[in-house]
Amino acid sequence: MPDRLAERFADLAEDVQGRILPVSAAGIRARSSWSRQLRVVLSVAVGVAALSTGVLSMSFASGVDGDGPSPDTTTLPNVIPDALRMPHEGEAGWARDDDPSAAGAVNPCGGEDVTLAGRVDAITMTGPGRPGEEEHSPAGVTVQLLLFRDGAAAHTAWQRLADAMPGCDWGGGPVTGMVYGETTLMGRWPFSSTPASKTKEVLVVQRTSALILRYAEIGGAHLSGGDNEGFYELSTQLCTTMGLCERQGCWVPYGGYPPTEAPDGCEPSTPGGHPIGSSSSGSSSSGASHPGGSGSPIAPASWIPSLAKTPSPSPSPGGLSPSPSPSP
Amino acid sequence: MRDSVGFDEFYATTTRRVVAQVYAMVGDLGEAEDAVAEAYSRAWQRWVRIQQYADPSAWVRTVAYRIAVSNWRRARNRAAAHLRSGPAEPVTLEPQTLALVDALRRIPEAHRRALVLHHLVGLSVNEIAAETGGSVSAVKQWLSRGRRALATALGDDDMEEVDSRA
Repeated sequence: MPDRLAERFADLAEDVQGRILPVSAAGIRARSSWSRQLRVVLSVAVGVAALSTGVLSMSFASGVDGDGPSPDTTTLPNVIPDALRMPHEGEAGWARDDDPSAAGAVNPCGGEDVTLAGRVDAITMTGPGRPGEEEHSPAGVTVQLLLFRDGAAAHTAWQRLADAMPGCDWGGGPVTGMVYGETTLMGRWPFSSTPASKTKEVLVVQRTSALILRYAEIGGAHLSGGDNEGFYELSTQLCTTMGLCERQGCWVPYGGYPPTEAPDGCEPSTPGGHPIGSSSSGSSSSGASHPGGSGSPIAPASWIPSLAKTPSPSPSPGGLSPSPSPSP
Repeated sequence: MRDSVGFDEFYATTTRRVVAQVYAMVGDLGEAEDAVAEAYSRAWQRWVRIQQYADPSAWVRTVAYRIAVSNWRRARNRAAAHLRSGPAEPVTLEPQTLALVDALRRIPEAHRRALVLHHLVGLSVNEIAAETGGSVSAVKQWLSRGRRALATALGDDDMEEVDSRA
């Protein structure tokens, strides 16, 4: 007996397809240009309004000692260019999703997705990640680049994620000091002492009108810091291909393997932002706070990475030998 | 350099089908048409990459669906569509089409989407799981429960069990 439901759906398809009058293809391509122009106009309007209230003051960096690019609100990008290559692209086990409306990679309490408002583009990579060397534990990692219409929208999303974390047993919060960037959120779950079968880690960094998000679920050992080279590659591209440039530090892998040579563009430092070998090295404080508390301020590193327009090669993994990637 | 000829051909051969699919999923033809147009517009922006996908129309359908169900975009899209093209011309659909869409609206969103992807788009359970992000077992549940609920809403007693082709 024929499936009656399938027949009904087939009739629906025939009925709808036969009656609608879609816009022409030329109209669709023109719509793409119209949308881009509208976003530029909106970005200018929002940028002018926000600058008058100081909202955007945090998200625009002036660069090193006045050098470096000053983001121009009238030319904020509204699409992530095809030329931008995400971390782990092409690696076994990693998948890329270009859906601009993809779910935000970080959602501390599993509620409303606060990264959708003001978002104009997104690229999401999911894969096995790189667990710590001491255990080959299952891990799943999502690295996501979100582009917003302006810095205010990006910062609002960042702030709402930070506000949500304390309520759902996440430890951490906004990180002060020059590590990943001036506007950095880090967290780990669970914060309580109850042993958990898995832990979660998040990192959310603002780059003007973009957010870089990293979410990881780890079944055993914590993620090594070795995946940071992917972050810095992406951050460099945001500057060189999209003009979204901000100051950043370079993080020594948390696993404690100091690099044998510094990544291009910066000097290595211990967690806490102090150069290795200085009297302040060895500090273990990341500046991350307990829920509800404020982080202890970290003195900015005395070294500042250059913000050269030419992309720099990937930082060396710093002595970590690659581990087989277990399935998530 | 983007291939406008290739994109236009892709658009011409797939857009009506995608509109029907998204309409069945969201229950509003105007919303579906505008969401699909927006999704194709975004596909054009990324055409260099999208055209290399095995099924670019799946990307468009997924993006269009998410646009259509995104609450905060609905009002803006209606206003923008009105500004671009004026009031939409009413489309008269067959009573059985309207009855099916009305019945679909009464069942949970996940069940509805799974039913449309299976019976209208022709995806297997595994393919539905990949497109929706759900597990295979969850998709089977959605299909099973969705069919029962839809049969009740339509007053049909002769719907056969879904095949679980993978």
